[in-house]
Amino acid sequence: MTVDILNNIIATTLRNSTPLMLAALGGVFCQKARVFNIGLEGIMLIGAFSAICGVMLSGGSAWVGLIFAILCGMVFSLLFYLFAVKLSANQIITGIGLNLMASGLTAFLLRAVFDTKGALRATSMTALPTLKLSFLSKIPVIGGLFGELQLITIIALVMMIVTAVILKRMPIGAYTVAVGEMPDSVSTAGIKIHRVYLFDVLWSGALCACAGAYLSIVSVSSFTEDMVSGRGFTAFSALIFGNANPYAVCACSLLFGFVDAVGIKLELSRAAIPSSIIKMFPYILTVTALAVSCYMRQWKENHVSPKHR
Amino acid sequence: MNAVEMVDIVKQYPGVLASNHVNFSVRKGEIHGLVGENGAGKSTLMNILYGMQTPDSGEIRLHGEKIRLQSPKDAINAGIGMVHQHFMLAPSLSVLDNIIMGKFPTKGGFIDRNKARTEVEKILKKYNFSLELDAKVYQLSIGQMQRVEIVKALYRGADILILDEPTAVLTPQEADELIHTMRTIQKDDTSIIIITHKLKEVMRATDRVTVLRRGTVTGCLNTCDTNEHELAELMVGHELNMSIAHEKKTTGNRILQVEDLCMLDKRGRLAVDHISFDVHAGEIVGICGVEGNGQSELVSGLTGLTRPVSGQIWFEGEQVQHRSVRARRDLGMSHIPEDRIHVGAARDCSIKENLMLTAYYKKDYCKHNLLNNKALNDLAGKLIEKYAVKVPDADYAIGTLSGGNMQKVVIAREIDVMPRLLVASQPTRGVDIGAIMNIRGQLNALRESGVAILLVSAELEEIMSLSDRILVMYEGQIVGQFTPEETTEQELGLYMAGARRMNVGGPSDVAE
Repeated sequence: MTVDILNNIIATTLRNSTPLMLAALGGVFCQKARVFNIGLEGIMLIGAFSAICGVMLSGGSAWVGLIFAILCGMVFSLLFYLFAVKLSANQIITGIGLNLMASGLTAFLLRAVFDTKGALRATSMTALPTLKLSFLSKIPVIGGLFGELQLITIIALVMMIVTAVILKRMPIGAYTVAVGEMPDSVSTAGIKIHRVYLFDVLWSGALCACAGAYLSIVSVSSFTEDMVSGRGFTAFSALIFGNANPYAVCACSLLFGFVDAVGIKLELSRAAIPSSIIKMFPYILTVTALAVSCYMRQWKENHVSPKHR
Repeated sequence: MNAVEMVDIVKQYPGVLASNHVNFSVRKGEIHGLVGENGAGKSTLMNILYGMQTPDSGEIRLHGEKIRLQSPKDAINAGIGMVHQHFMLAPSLSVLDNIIMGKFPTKGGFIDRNKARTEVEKILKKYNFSLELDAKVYQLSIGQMQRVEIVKALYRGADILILDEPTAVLTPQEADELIHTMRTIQKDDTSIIIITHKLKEVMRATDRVTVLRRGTVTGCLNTCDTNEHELAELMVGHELNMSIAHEKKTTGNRILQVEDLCMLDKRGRLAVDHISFDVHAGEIVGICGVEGNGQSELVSGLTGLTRPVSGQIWFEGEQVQHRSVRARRDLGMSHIPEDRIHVGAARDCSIKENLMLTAYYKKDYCKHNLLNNKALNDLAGKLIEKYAVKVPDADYAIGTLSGGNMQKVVIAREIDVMPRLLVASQPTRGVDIGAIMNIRGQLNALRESGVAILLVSAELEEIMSLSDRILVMYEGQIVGQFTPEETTEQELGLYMAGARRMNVGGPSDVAE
């Protein structure tokens, strides 16, 4: 019985965390480059919508949906690049604008293209494959947890490593870090810094759209208006809390997903806690997490001083 | 043959002719000084050579061949390297990554750090430099960062090296080392251009020197055939009295006394560590030290911008360490802040508003919470005239003024109230020679009239020529106390670098 509950919670955690992980990983390069991209939420929504569109247009292929979502997400993130980077508009305002625009645009297209309101169900869809790891499923107790993994969850974990490798081992990673700390160190080295920003923003577009597609074509097979409902901001918190380190960012996403899962479990178990309070858990954790991480950073700055000074 | 030849360069900015038919050439393997006041067009000329700006007309030849430089990338490819005044380094990346930034050797899309390391080590060995390649840049001293910048340029294959104000941030010892470094690199037939306004260094380090004034070349001389005096005249266009009559005289009452003062910096570390000293009426006490050794925190503690953690500040026998900034000003304390753009002035406010900042609440200028604009206009007009601030109109935003003129506004505001104590922090930073001499003259005149002055400056020459007493700060403590007659810049440098220290007690007797 308890094993079942545990299994259940862990499975829910993984389900909840996958989109957070992807979106937060998408933000890593922007954050390293000190581009404050709070448009993650909006890009996710665009991704969720266009994934379903792709499915409908192709007559039910989830693969087409996923790829179409990624393309649309990148195009949408180009808007952020255009305004916030190229025209140097305020990044926060641009981000808020894009989030609102995504919400309005998807609702409008829902009506204009599909002539429905509120939600859009994919009538028939061949789901993305899941991965059965038979050697894991034989392990007692935890076997049930990892026995079956969604493909996108695997993609998220792979992207974690890819992000870390790009950051540490590839020129674009080094440029991104340098652009964030001292943009002129890159431009005087003869590199066009706008190209670095472009990569960072497009990366966020691709991964956030992937996260959005997960919500609409893996979690459920329908799009609902504003279905991202704050996950983009939760991912952003994970990004800040994890200090834009890919591994830490994923760990934070898992933590947020876990709190959410526990909340759902508590709600179902009809404990004496009102569900509205349980629903606050992830957000309380976010605020606490941010406060703690700020405090820790300050502490670190005070105690790790440069060698000669 | 000339390594660099810039012929008839013209660059027009809105309202300013930054380069007026400039001819500039550098021979192969020479160290060439480029001097001039602020705004003389040194940076414009070098930015053109480094491809950051394109000239309106004129041509550039490198090693005899005409070349078009559209971007820094073109310049780098043509063998030009530039070490900027503010280092272009990413603090959290390693020294190695910073050196190879923009020219990463790759293997299959990944950075090939092993290959880079061997190449960089070859350069280090050739010039006998030492650098820890795996250290992060934020762990380095300023002098080491500069060396990273130089190696970075050499790694890119630069045979023409531009150094922009390279010694501005260095201790005298580090500056000596830099000159030595330049001589080593020069042996390799590399040409070096140093932009500077320190004439002493030009005389010591360069082979030839070009002087710019208001966008035109006023002289190109062999260093051995000229002297500081001639160069200064070429820079400002008229004869300049470089020395300040500094008569020894008896000092008056003790105005400021600081006892066991401790201050924290912004991060909460101890920046001023149990400091005691005093300043008397009619004397200038100079505080020197490498930047970041607690001078800024000391000044903000004295003037009331931040509260000390412990210790006492006495102002004419009154304890003031808990008094507000305004209370201290009302007692007769004035402050010329080191950061004139953010602290000394409100950039977007008019000159008039900036001039009235310390007076607007006083009875003459404010009645029933309403400003008396007429009185304030008169005040602004009076100060602008008296202190010869060059402005078209007192209603212009102060941010539109040049550094020197902006500083004149700040100084006019601070000294016209006839303070008992003036805390002057880097009063001549970033202003041109004419203005420097003007400001120094004013400080000296104040001293003559019996004002106590605490002068904090990174310019040793300024400290030496103005002070009656010199205190050296290192890591938040006073490590040396001298009179200018009994010390040299070299000796001060050793104390500033922490290589030497003496036991300095505070004022001998307690305040009455």
